[in-house]
Amino acid sequence: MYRLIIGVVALTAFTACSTEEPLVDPNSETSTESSSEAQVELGGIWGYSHLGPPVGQDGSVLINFPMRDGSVNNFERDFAVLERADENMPKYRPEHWEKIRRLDFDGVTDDPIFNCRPSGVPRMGPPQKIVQTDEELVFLYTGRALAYRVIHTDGRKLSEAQTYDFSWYGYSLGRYEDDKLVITSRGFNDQSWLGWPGWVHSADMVVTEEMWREGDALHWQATVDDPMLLEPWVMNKRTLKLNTDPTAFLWETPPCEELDREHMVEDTRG
Amino acid sequence: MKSTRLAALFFCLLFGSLQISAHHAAQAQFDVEKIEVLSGKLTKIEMINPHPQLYFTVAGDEGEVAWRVEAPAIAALRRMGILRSLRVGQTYKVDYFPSRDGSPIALMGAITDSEGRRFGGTLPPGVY
Repeated sequence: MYRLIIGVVALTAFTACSTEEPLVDPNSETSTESSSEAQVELGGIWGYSHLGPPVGQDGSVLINFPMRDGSVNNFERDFAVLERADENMPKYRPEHWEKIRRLDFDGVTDDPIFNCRPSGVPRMGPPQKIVQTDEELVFLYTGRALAYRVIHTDGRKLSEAQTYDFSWYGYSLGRYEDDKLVITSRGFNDQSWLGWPGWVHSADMVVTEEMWREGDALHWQATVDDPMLLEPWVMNKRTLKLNTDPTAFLWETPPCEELDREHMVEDTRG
Repeated sequence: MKSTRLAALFFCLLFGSLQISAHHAAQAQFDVEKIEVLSGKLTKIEMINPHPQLYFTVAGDEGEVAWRVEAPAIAALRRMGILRSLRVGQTYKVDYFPSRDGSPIALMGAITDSEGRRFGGTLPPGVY
C-alpha cells in the first residue's frame, strides 16, 4: 500500500514537472445550458437568528456555552475535543503528515484565523445571506470577517487570470442540476486552512459545493479535491434554517485585530 | 457527549449560521481555573474581532491601573443585550480569568453593571 502511495506521489510529481499544459484547464468547469434557470429558490437570510438567551427577572443575561459545564472558560479548550472527535477528516499523502501533526500540536499562531486572515472557502461554510438573480448569486458572509462571493450562473467560463489567481475565496461558477445548485471554485491561494486542526491545502485545490432546499432548510455540503489529499474530502453537511423574520438584518462585521500573541505563554492547542 | 452535542446544536441555532470556532486555546494565555474580580471605570469600548475589548481604570494601593478585558465574541455580546448597558465613564464589576503572564489583561467571565444586572457566561461551580 505504501509503495502504491509513493508511486502515486511520484507519478503526480512527474506529471506535474513534465507537462507544459496547465494543471487545471480553465475552461473545464462551465455552466450547463440550463444554468440560468434557477430551479431552486435560495435568496434570503439563512440562520442568523436575533433571538438571545432569556433575560432574568433582574435583567441579567447568562449564556450556557456548549461545553462541559456550560462555562465560558471551558469553551475554547473543549472546542478542540469536539473538533478532534469528528471522524470525518481529510486524508493527506504521507509527505504532508509531519506538517499536519505539527500544526495540530502547536500551530495556534499558524492558523490564519488567529492572524485575522480570512477563513476562506470552504472553511467559512455557507453564507448568511444569498441574493439570487437569473445570472448570478451573491453570497454574503458576516461574523468573524466580512466577505462576499459572486457565483456566476450565466454559462460563462473562468478566465485564465481567475483560474490562476491566488485568492482566499476562489472564483466560482454555478449550475443548477435538478433541485441542486452546484458550485465549482478555483483560483485559490495555499494560505487558508480547511479546518481548525491545521488542515492545509494547495493552490491547486478545487472546491465543489452543493446546496439544496428541503422546505425552509438549506443544506450545504462541500467536497475538496486537492493533490495533497489521497482522495477528495467530503465535508460534513451543514443545514441552515430560513430566517422568516421580515425585519431580519445582518449585523456589521467589525475589523479584526490580534492582541494576544505576545501574552500567550504556550503554543499548545486546546 | 450526546448532551454536549445537543447543547452545541442549540447554541448553533441560537447564534444562527455564524462560524463558531475558538480564537485560540484560552488556557494558553489565561488561568481558566481561577477567577478574580475587579471593579473599575470603563474608559473605552473597542468593537473588534475576534474579541471586543473593554478598557478600565482600576484604583489600587499604588494608584490607578489600566486594564484590558477581553470579552466574549461580538455575536455573544450582541445577543446578550449587554451593549445597551455599557457606557464609558460608568463603573462595572468584572469576573475574570487572570492573565498567566501577570499583565493587567483579563478574560471576561461576566460583567455586572451598577444596577446589578449581570451579563456573561455561566461559571462552573466552585470556581470562586
